[in-house]
Amino acid sequence: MLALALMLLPSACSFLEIPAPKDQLVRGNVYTSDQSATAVISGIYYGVIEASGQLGNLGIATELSSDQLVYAGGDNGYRQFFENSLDESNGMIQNLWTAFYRSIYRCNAALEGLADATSIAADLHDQLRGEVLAIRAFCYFYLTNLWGDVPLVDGADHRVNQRIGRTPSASVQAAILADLREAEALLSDAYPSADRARINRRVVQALLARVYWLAGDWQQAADAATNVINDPAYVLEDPEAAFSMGSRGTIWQLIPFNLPAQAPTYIPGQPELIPTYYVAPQLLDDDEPGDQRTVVWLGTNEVDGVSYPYPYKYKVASGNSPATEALVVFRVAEQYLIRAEARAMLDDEAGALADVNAVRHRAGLGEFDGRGEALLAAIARERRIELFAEWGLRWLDLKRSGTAAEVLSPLKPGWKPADLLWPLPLAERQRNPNLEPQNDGY
Amino acid sequence: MKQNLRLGDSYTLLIANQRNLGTTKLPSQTGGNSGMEGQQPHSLLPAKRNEESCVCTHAMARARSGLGLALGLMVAFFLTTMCLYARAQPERSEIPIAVEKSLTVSGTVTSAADGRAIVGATVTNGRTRIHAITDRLGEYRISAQAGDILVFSFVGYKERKEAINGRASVDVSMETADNTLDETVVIAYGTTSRRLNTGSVGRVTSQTIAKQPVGNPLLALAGRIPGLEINQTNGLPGSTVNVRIRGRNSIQQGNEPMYIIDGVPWLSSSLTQSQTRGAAGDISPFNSINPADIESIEVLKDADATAIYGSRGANGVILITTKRGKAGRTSVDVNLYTGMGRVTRTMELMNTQQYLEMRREAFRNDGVEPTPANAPDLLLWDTTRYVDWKKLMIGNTAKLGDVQVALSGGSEGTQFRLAGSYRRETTVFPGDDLADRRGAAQLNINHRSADDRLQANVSVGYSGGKNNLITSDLTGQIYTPPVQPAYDASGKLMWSDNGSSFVNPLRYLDQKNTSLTQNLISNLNVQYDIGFGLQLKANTGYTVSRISAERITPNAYYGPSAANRNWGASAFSDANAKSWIIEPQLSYAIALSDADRIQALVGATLRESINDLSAVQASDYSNEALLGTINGAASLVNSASHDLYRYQSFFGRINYNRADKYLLNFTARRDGSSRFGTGRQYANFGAVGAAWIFTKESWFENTDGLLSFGKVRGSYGITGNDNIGNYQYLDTYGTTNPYQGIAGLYPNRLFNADYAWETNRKLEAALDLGFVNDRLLASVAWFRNRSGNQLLQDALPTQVGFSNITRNLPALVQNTGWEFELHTVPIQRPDFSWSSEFNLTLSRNKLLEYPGLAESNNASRYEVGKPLDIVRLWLYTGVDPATGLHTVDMETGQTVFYDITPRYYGGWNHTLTYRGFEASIFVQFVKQKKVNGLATLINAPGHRYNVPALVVDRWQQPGDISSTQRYATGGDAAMAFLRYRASTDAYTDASFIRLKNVSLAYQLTGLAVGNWHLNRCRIYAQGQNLLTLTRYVGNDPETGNANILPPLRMVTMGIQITL
Repeated sequence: MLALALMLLPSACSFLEIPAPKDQLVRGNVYTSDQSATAVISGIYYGVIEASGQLGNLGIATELSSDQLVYAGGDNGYRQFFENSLDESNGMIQNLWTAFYRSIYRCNAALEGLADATSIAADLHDQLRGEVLAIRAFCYFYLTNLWGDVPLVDGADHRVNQRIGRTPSASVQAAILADLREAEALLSDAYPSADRARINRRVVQALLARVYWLAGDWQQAADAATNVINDPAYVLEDPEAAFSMGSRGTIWQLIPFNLPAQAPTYIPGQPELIPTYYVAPQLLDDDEPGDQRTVVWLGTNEVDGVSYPYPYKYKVASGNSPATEALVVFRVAEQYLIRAEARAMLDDEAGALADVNAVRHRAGLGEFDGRGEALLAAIARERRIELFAEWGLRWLDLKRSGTAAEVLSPLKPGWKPADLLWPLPLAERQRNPNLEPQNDGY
Repeated sequence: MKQNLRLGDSYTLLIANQRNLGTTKLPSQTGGNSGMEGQQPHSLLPAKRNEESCVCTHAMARARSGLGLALGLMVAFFLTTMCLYARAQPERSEIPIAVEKSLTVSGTVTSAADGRAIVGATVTNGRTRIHAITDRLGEYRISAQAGDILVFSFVGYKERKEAINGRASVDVSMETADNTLDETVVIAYGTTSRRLNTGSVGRVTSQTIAKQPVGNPLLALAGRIPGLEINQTNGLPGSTVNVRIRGRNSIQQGNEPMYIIDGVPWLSSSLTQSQTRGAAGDISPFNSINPADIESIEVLKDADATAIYGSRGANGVILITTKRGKAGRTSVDVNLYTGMGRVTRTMELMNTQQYLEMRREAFRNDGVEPTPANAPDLLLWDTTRYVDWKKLMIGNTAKLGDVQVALSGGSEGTQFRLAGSYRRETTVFPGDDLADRRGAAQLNINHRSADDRLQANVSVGYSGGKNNLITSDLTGQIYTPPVQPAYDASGKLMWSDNGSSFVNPLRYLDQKNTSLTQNLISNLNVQYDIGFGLQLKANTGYTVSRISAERITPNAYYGPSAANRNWGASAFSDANAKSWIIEPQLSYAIALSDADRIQALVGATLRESINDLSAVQASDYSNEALLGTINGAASLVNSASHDLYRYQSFFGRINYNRADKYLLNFTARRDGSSRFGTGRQYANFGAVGAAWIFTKESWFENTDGLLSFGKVRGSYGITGNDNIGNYQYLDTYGTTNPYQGIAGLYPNRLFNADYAWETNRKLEAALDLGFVNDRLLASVAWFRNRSGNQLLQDALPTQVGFSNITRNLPALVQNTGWEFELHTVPIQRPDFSWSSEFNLTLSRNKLLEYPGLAESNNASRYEVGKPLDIVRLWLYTGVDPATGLHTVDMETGQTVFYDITPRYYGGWNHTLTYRGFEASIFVQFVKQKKVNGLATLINAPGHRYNVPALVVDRWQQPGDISSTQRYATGGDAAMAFLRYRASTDAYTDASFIRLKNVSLAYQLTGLAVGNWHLNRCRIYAQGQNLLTLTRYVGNDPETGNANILPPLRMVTMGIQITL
């Protein structure tokens, strides 16, 4: 009876209707103005740079797995990359996976929010959508190149997303291209903000060039790279200036909030210390006397009479507020080398030589005039010296060229071809049974 | 029905207590009463039938299981007793009822302790079994004959028999009970006694707490109460204590009980923020509570006891009651103690020779040439050195000091207690200034108006604490290679040896972490007696809890290289939790007849709590000297959160007591919580509890058996769990740090507005027995809790963008168990006594249902029919004699399930007193499996990392049969070690029997020193965690992990003086 009486008491009391939280914004109020929609895009960029701890690790991990860096530290996770003996519970693999998919979710949520938005200026709407599509494509580019078949998540509904299994990499590739083509159409050549820190059409074209290059679609790669190279905004900078804030060689860079870009990762804490990641002797085999890049982009510690060079492309190891160095994602030098290779493959050896020499001259090197295999070898050498410790490009080179076995098996005792794909993180497979099967070899 | 009629007849013989029962009310009361009588079997039976049908079905299904058998036995026992009862009936009705020549006896019942009237005491005529109840002034009237004997009883007092001897007026004064059965037990919104309680309540009193030199009152509960698991997360002062009542109900989180201090809900989780978390981990909110200010801690376990807390009762409730003053002369109590502590148990690590042998052999095994880069410890460092890192890091002596001063006293109307205390406890890390300190003040005032109608109680507790233990638990650093140097000749930290540099783990001592806590818990409880049995009460409370903490990382932390760099950084955090509660209540006590008493309670709760958290991480200081402030930092990263939680509910309870023989208790609550979306905020909870004290039956009282008390009780009810975060039902965007000056927005959770309450159905049956005048009390309880509609942060694959979502799972988790308690007083003489308490809990946890588990994200973590605390392991197949590597059965995969829930646990306490001496000894035991210490090592043996010496028994050459794999620096061996860590061999017996507490005291009374009159002087020595018997391979079996500081073995000496 008492219970009954209690139940009859009015329950619709306003006491429980608490105000919306002070520190959060209800979704309905987000995509309502130009300003807050832009803030969402800022949030996505911030998410990418926040994850740069992980994305920076991407560079280290792939360089250790390749023939570029030697690991002298004591961490098991890094050692696994260096020894190409990855384990599916490796924390860095999990972190990278999570970082990419977190950004992809933010992109998907923003795309849905923008699609429903009615009060955002049309130009801005196109601009924002283009940026989001490009970032999503950028994330998928790495996911599929590192793991192979990965779940292609293109909406924000977790009920659907949590069950998506491994999508064939060809479909992922198609989705990347579709996103990039749409973004290319939506974006303009002008940057939406200062310092080339947000995406314009050229960034999309640079990524397109990289995607086509990796796929061996030489004509498309050359065309995309040409779009960038022909834009007078982009100039091959001297090595000294290549990674500075105002570099005109930069196509896209991420500006960290109050943190150094990447320098503390590589620069050892003490001059008398063996650097945790030091440059492998094989990389220096490709060094030519007089190359300003190895002079400017390498630091050296002497320990016990032995020199240990380490990557020194980024030099601001502490502070960086206001930022004087940002994390460069695309540089025009890479576009020259992509086009050089594409042209060589398309039998335009003169064009290829012109591109290679453009890169060499600004590094203080002389004219190169080889043809055929020698030209391709020179391009590969230039890529190695030009792009080391940047965004896993050496790893992609080894995979694409099919030289991984030849290069790595003498260096890594346990090396096997299956090491070219990373294992899907254990926890992901446990939480989504559709992610079976695991990549070979794990 | 026969009985009803008979008792109904007897009503006519009563002279009603006119003060309580107006004549005009009588018919309706009688009507109401007979309605009750009619209802009683009905309202009991359906519930009982439900229980039994459930029980029977399950018992049938598992007829072979021990549980089924035990249940069957209980049912059989129950039926047998019922038969006995039925047979006893005719005998009963043969007793002639003397009607003639009755006289009316009246009188007043008072308390011997303070002379105050006792309201609601039962007066029974021993011959006629007629009862009367004392009124607001303690007066009663009862019909009797001149030669009858009256029996006076009341909760918390000794029963008293008084012959009438022809008197018309019999006044009695009742003594406070020292009988365990009649001690007052605090329950939700009231008190009862163990004798009359229908629910399951465990209790620890101030005497037990005082024997243990612990800083956190929750630690004093370890092993003392059946069904209660207490686990120290680490051995550092201030650290969080994990508390679980009757197992794990919720799959992922929200298994913390609800805590109530003097009627005011208190924080169940720490306010520590990750940016400033120190070595002790999260600072326990209970670290702010002075154990010496606590009168008793009650642990409410079953539905009957907890359902009135509705949505917050699912995981049980812990009630803490602070001490109150007593009327009489003002007394001053001073208590001082000091002590020392060392780590309980660690593994012996390799010495230099063993270590070097391991390293060299590892390189040989791997076929890898040692180089200065991969083996500086062999090639560059001084290999003749031996540094005992374990001794250096955790081998010091912790020091403890505790001072308590309490002043108490008061008059008839007003009593007070004012207490102040200070405690300082260091740890076994190097450095004496690293300590946890607490100063606390507690004030309790109780007032009662002269006409006894108005009562007001105030309790205010304030404490301030400072914990400046460093940032990291140094236990993880004891595995530093013994050849790695610590200090140079001048006493400075070394960072390199012979050109090879390393991180010196002593640097953690430079990273300061300080948490300052402030807590206020205040409670005002006012009650007014309106008359007619009605009492109006208001319970109000206000709490503030604050932790402000800072972490300072100077350049020195990074070694000499940082001298010209600017790496120093700081983090500051501030957490503020405020809450208020208002609970108006109306209670009604009525005697329907002299045998039938009803106590009813209705009330409402309004509660609000606000948590504000903020943290700043500061770096880029222009000068290291400014690290203590944010001002000198060029770079600041902020975070803040604000949570508002509101809670509103209505509750009620009806307690029916028939002649202290049949007890029935109904509770109900309707709860609303702002943690749920509109339309899902409210839910109903309730329980029914019943008890039958069969020794009160006349057929029993006539037998002169050993059995002095016997009670069968049971309860069933529904409680809930809203232990999730706030605002989770909203689709929201949070803020990020700016990107190019524009602060970002991001979706900060996966949106789900449809989640609802988790419900927990609790069923309990128990038998309480007392033998030989209650000198031996035994109690057996069986419980079954089922938690369904599991509400949790459900783990998702991160491809959805988040690692979890708040949602209900259609899963059902069951906890069943048996609890045994035995309280005996083998010897009780004026100068010598021996008492003992034993308790044992056997419990099983099981995931009963989980539709769609196989397709869900939890497929690999849980299995239907298995406990929640399982680990999925590889089947270990030994060290391969050919390769020297650990092997597991790859074909079966990681499919072997091990249950790591404790199988059983309990404690056994003995207290001996001889004249002024008192000795008590307490043994705690747990039967469980845990991951062994070797498997929690970061690296496999062979790395530049010291390991326990027991691995020297390793594989060395093909053909060797060993249980330890070969030394290796990486490669296949690393993978084999990873698999070993998740294999059946890594999970071993971690059961232990621990001499948890020994307390010796000598007490002198009536001392006079000069003009000082000492009421009491007590000298004592206490020890905590003195001895641990275990076969566990690792450090301490309670904390398990080899990288966590084990609990300390504490020995203290103290003196207590009462003036």
